[in-house]
Amino acid sequence: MNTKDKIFEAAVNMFNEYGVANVRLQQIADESGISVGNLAYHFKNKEAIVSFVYDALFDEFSIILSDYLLEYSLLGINQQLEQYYTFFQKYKFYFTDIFEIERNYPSIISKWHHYINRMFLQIKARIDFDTSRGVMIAQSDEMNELLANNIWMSVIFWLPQRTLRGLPLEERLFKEAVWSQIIPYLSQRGQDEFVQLVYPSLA
Amino acid sequence: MKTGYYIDVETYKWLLQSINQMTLHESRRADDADTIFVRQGDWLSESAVLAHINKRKGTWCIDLVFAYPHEPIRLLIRKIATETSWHKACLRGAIFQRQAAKDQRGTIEPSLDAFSISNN
Repeated sequence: MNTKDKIFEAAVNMFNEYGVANVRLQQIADESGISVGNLAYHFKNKEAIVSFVYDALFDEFSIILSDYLLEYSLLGINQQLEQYYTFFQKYKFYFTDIFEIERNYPSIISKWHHYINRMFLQIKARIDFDTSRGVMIAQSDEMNELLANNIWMSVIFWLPQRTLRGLPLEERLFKEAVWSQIIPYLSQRGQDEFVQLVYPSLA
Repeated sequence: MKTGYYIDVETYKWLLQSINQMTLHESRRADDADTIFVRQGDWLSESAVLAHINKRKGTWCIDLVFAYPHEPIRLLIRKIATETSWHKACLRGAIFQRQAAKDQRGTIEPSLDAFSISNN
């Protein structure tokens, strides 16, 4: 692992533990096992580190978004949920520091809006696709929009609400929470597909 | 912060719709557009086949010539193999021709009427 990767890992750990606003360069340097001078050689200030971390965060988010419909069955939704869980677990500070970022890093917050909106559009498009495929019950566009909104909220806020309530974080529970939004809208064919392909991974 | 190229919301929606439509799923039956590649190659199985032996760069090349008897302008020549001697090339060419041709006796030939030659 090169020095920049060590700094990245250390910064993510520190941000998750203490929050972006409270982390000092000395802490990042200590965590990565280098001197502050060496850290300053790679990143001239804290804003540069924050930008670097968020660039990597958005790159990983793009990869998840680019897997849209890679697997067209309901298993594809499950696979994307697994990716989202790993992503939001790795970058826990995405939620805890959202207001700090909004105040002090406007370019980052506008990128967040971009990616979050893309995520919502994908969820809506996936509902349309599964409806045309016959695995979901056809509904009005407004209902599909509401359902997409509920699914999106489950994915984004499940981890923070579990943390707030002091409850354990488990991938299986996360997937169950999201699927509980979708299952009532599955057709008979969709339910059969869910039982056959997705349920074994939740049991 | 890295700046990237972003497409607007409407274009992204259109992109997602296109991906939805392009994805094959079993409830959609194949239509003509999906099987056109099969029909485009049909004429080869009805064609007359000739093995053409010629010398190129010191070796004997075996070409197979496919001619469609109902539309003689439809012609395809493909290089199949090379041999070091003329006799070997002829023998191999004959084997390839027998395997490729629908009519093993070699009696398929183009009809003169297929040319639609105008004498005016």
